Amino acid sequence: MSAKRAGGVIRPVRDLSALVAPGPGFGQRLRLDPLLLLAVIGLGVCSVITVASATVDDIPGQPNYYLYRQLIYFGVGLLLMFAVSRIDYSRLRELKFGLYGLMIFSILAVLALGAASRGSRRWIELPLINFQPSELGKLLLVVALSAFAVDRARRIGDRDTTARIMLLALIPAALVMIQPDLGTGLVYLVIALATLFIAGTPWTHFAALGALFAIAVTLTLVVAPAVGVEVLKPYQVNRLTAFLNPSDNPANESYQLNQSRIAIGSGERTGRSLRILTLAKNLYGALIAGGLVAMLMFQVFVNIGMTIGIMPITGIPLPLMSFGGSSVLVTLLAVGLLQSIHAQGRDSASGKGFGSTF
Amino acid sequence: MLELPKNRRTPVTPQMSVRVAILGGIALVLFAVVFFRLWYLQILSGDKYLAQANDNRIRDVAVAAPRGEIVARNGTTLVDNRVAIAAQIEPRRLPAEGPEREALYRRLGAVIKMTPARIAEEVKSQTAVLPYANVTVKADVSRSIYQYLVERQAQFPGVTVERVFLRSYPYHELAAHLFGMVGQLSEADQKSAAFRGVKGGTIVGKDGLEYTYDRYLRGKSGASRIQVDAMGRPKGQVTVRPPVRGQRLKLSIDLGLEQAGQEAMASAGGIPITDGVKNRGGAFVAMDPRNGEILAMGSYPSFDPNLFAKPIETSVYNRLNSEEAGSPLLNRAIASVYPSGSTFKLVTATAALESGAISAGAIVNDPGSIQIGNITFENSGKLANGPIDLRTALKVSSDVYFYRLGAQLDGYKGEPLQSWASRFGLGSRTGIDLPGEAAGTVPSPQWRNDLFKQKLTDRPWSIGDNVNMSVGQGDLQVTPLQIATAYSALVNHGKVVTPHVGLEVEDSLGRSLQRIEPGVTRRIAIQEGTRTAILEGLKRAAGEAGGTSADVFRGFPYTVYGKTGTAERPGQADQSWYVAYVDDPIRPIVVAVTVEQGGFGAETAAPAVRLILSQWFGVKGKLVRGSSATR
Repeated sequence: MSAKRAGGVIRPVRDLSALVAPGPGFGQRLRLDPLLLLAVIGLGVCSVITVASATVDDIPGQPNYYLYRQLIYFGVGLLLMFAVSRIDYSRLRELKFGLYGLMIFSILAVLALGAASRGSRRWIELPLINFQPSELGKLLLVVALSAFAVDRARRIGDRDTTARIMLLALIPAALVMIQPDLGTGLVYLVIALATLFIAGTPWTHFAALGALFAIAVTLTLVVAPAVGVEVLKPYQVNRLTAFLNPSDNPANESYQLNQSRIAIGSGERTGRSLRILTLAKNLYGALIAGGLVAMLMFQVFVNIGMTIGIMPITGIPLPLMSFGGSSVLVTLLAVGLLQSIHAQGRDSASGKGFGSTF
Repeated sequence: MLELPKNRRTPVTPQMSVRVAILGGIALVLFAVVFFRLWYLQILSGDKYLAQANDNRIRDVAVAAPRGEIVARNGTTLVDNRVAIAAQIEPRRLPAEGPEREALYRRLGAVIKMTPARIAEEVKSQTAVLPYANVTVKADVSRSIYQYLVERQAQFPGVTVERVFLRSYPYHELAAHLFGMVGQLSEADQKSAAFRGVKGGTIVGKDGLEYTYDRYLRGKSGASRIQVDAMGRPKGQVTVRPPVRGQRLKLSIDLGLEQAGQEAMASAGGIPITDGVKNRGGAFVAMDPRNGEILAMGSYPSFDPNLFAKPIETSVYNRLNSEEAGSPLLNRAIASVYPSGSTFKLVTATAALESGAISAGAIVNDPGSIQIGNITFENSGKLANGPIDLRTALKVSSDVYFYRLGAQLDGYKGEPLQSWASRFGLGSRTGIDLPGEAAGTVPSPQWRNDLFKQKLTDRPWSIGDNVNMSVGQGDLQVTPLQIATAYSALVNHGKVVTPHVGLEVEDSLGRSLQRIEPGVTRRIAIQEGTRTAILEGLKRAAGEAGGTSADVFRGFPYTVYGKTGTAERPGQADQSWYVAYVDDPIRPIVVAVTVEQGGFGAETAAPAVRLILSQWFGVKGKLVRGSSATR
């Protein structure tokens, strides 16, 4: 066990195929959580139908343009999900610097050469897909941040640890907000908070973070405009403040029913994910699961919340429902990771005894 | 996949369990908030939103009423309705300006075969006039396009297809100038008295009889309540108030006479005669002298009003307005003013006889020309008529005879020439039930001297003006309708009728609801001697050897009282005029015809009148050109 740990932490892995868990030949058949899979597929079907009907007029002569794309994304995403679910996620820890670097690099790349759309620079145009690094960044951040947290698991109560992890998240968050993509930046912060929370950071630290956040918000929304510094763009301020005075939109019934169904589906997924968290074979798995759960939960809440007027309007995609290659692929990758955590947690639970890397 | 607790083995510390539980709690709370909000929106505020949603869902739509038909005297339909399908745009429901709207215009344009720019232009121009009404981009689309659009409403937000009534004109060019166009009531017109209380966007008459008799023809828009879904797609329809069809307007127009008039204009005036003039514009008016009922009225060249039933191409419209094409839209019978030529001699003769300047039997020598002041006025071709009285002067249309009268009446107390011109209705509108009538001009010393004072003319009034006016030249400007009205006044013993085209308002089954009463009738005092002397002259002109139009009416079985006119117009060939009266006890008629650049009165206008009279009296029509070279 200690040898494994030593190897796990230090040995650099260059061959990615080494990450792939041994297949059925190893003696274990692949175990996916069926309910999570069902929720994902259900949401996927809803998404395809919604996208198909909503975008039928968007491109003249190609009524199914978006439908086909979304179908392709889901197809590829599901394949990726199955692939990732077979990865030994623990090995990702070894790649934390690489993953973190990749995230920072790709976000910087967007700023440098991204395609602008409606005033924002969020995408890199690739042949088949407009790749949105900040989406993949969410996943990379969860994986990397969890790894850093595991490294400092023994000093999780230190102020230093909390500060470092927050800093590690704030850097990409700030970069994403520059794009500008406030919503995704907030997702990064939520991921960091969730990771700290699961890892066991003391409550006092959260209180301090909360206080800092409150001060920051006050500065951006009240003080900065008063002294003439524009931190947030006017539309951002409008969106943030407008929902404080909601004018109730009489959205029609079927629309709200749809929202309810999505909420139920997403709730199902959140529940399964939390369960997977408790099933994880090690702290790393638990932290990844926690980060992913928080990420998905936050996105769902913000997105549905904004449509029913309880959250400000942001550009956060609704996981698996919104149209978008990056979002769909990343969400399915995340689900793949959760499945991997689930499968391995069950393996270690039923087979090898205590499988923690500690 | 349930497993027993003993199988579960996790790295979860107690602290982490608490944290996970808290995370779960937070998730629970967040979703609870979402569900509470949904519950709040749906259940707690349900009534409020239900009311609002119903507001959104039920739309009151005006249902256009078919306009009443316009029929000829004998009941033949001249203006009908045709049900068509119009592709319309509801501006409020259009996607916001930008690529989305452009894409919609492109899609729609491909379907209805219009350029996106043209659609955008229609939307812009029509909303400028009627901000809240639907914009008709194409008034008449085919059944297949209708079905295509109805089935794909989601792809065409803001586009609707409506059943509309278009005017149709089964006789095409016939009497086209009388009817006028219909169109949506604009905001500006809504304020006018004629359309008080009419909803903007209602189809109303814009011109012609459609305008004058709009309140009868319009009908009453119905209302229907349409249920729409959240996308604005109609789901069902409840008729609240059915539309009421407009009433039928019966005209005094005699269909056959109108056709004859139009053909006569084409055959007598439309064909090149001697010179290369192709389009001899002209007009004809046939009137019952007793009551002013217009039996036929037309302007040549004509046009097919069906072209205007739907949005007309700019190029077509420009051509219809161009002089090269003969300005077909112009109703020359009431809106064009010309010097009347010798047809004015009616007025000069009346003025001279009534003022006592001359007696009917007084003999005047006509040597072919006359020196007045330092100007020599001549007969056409210097033709000398010798010693003549008034009747003969009218018969041969001696200019010298009337020049003398004109000179004599100049400076006479009360300006008899001018005042009699006015009494006969010249220089002011006849009051016909058609908009766009011209008043014309009766020149008088005061009129010219005023212009001179304002430096709008180069000289003050002189005797030559009166001399020119006495034969219908100079600054005199009249419409063909005024001439017909003036001659009617003579044969009516001084009763000046108000010409009118509308005869009766009927219900859709043809039962008379209301007889259209023409406006007040004036009376002018003409002595019987004056009347008979002039009529005698006119009868001889048309029926006695040597009369100006005698050869035209040779063999015509009815007694015609006729006067030729040849108006000189600067820069172009003479204009041909003819006005005739047939004294039939049952079917009296006055016909006035003018042909621009038609030459002498006997050359084109008189033959046209013969054709028209032939139709009226059931005589075989024959185009007989006269040889008289008189004015």
